[in-house]
Amino acid sequence: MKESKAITYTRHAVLILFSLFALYPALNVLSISLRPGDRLRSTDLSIIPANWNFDSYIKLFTEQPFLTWLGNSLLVSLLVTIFGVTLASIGGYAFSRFRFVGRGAGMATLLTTQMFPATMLMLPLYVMIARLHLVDTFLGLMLFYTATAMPFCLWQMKGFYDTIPVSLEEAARIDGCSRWQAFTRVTLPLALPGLVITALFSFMTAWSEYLVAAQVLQTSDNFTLPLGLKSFQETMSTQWGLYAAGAIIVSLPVVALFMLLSRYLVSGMTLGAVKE
Amino acid sequence: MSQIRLQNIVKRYEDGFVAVKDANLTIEDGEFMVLVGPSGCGKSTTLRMIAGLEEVSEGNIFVGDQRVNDLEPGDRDIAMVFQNYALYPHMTVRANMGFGLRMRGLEKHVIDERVKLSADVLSLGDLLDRKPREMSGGQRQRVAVGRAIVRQPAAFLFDEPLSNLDAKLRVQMRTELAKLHQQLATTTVYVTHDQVEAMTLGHRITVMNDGVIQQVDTPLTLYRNPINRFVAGFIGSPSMNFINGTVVGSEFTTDGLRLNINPLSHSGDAILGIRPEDLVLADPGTPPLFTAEIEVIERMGNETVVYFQFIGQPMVARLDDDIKANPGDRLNLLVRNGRWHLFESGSGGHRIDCPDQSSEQK
Repeated sequence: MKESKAITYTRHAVLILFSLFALYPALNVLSISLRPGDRLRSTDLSIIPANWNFDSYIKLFTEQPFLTWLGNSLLVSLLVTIFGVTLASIGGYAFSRFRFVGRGAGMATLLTTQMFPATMLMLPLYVMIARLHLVDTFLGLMLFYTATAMPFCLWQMKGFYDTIPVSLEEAARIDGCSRWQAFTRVTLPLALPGLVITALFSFMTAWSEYLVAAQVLQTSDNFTLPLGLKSFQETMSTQWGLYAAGAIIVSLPVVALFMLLSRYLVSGMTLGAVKE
Repeated sequence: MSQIRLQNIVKRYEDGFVAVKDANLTIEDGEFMVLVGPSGCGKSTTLRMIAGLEEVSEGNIFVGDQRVNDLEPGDRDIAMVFQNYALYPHMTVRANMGFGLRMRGLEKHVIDERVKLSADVLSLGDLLDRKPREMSGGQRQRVAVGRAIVRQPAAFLFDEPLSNLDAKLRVQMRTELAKLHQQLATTTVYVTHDQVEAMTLGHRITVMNDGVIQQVDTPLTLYRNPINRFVAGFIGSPSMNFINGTVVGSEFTTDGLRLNINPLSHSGDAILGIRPEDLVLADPGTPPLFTAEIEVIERMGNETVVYFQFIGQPMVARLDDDIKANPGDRLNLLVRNGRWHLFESGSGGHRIDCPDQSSEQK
């Protein structure tokens, strides 16, 4: 069916408008990061300003503990990813394949935890982490991140395993595998797209998180990137150039990951739509 | 190669449902045994218990002399072919077929040799480097069979292996499986709900219903002497016609039908069973067993299938291809000499033996 020109134009107009909404802040940040001096506002409308330079970026790495924060963030995010993927891949398998007491209740409880806003959990979590003497430690932060990402990851993996026929594992067991071998040699490789999504989600949960990190971490040496960036905002003045340059660098790994993994992401999203 | 023996096998699920009730069955060394029955009759559960994929609630399973109840599936020396093929999608055909041998720690050159041998038997030689998704349903099924035979196990288990194939391919694979069994002569247990597969492939057939083994016998015995109404109705297509009536003395009677049957010891209500192919047109002048008005007529070319009602019961007859009749016409029908069956009218519907099954119309 051919649609009228009016509809085509309207559709594109709406799409372009929303694209601008999405793109403008990012481009603005890029622009600020390249401006000489700490100028938040400018009469210049071009994205790459006149007499642009990399001063902010250079300062970020030379005058600020940015590398330390980057290292902290990477450490926390990668460990959370490893924890998250390991636990979700095994836990999701149990929820998918075994019928045990509390299975239904467990799944429902996990889902319920997703319905509360994270800010509501802040106080009890802080108290818990304080009691465990984990304030201002990465371990405390990682516990929190892994725990908050886990419900989604478990559901995701469970749903993924549900689409893999049980008969494959049965065939593997008849071929001489133990249950564990059948899982690692047959099911797990087939669940790769699910694992990728789970990994991405776990990584992002930790990478760009600010609120919880602000409660748990206190000394500047322990800051993760979002906390570090915030520290450029001081009571009297804000170092906008550094702030913007840092924001760009923080977003790069996530963008790169998305581009690398988008193939899996798409196939992951269509999974579960059709059952064999 | 080994005998497989089931001894008082019971499968009870946690919710109390009993899927298999006290099954006793011996599958001889080299025998092709078919388990057949309607959905939910317990045939697949029985097979899966032999495979070790379901726990046995009570009783013993032996492969050869060894009790295998507590052995892992991989330690039972059996190979299984699944309905959905269950090929490992991330492996090539070669890796799929060799997987079981690799898990058993065989050396690579031995594996390669045996995979090649099995691939040749099934003419899969050109497909060894393909992935399952690059193959047709028939080829996948062949790989699934190949994965089983490459192991050279004591027994093959087939779980409705042909039901995902289209009709033409199914017939072709059926003959291939029969040929394969003639070559290998490995003990085989084959589950199907298709009675044509059961009749054509099985040395013997086990008919199951509601978790109970009804009858174990050769295809022809099942066809000729079904032990009860269930087996009689299940084996044969279209299925046997049943007529309710009464036995008085040596006669079976009902409205518009009398048949001399001479039962050994039975009187009162009974059910007469006649296969559609055992009904024939009565010659003009011969008194018919009964008369029926045709409802639907199907001309198949080699035969004509006629549907009609007899005392409120739908019935079928398979007649010669050249009969001249139309819906609404009345046919005079006879039953072939002695080709009828008599069953008790109760729920068990046991066969009532009649010593001299030569029917005479009155």
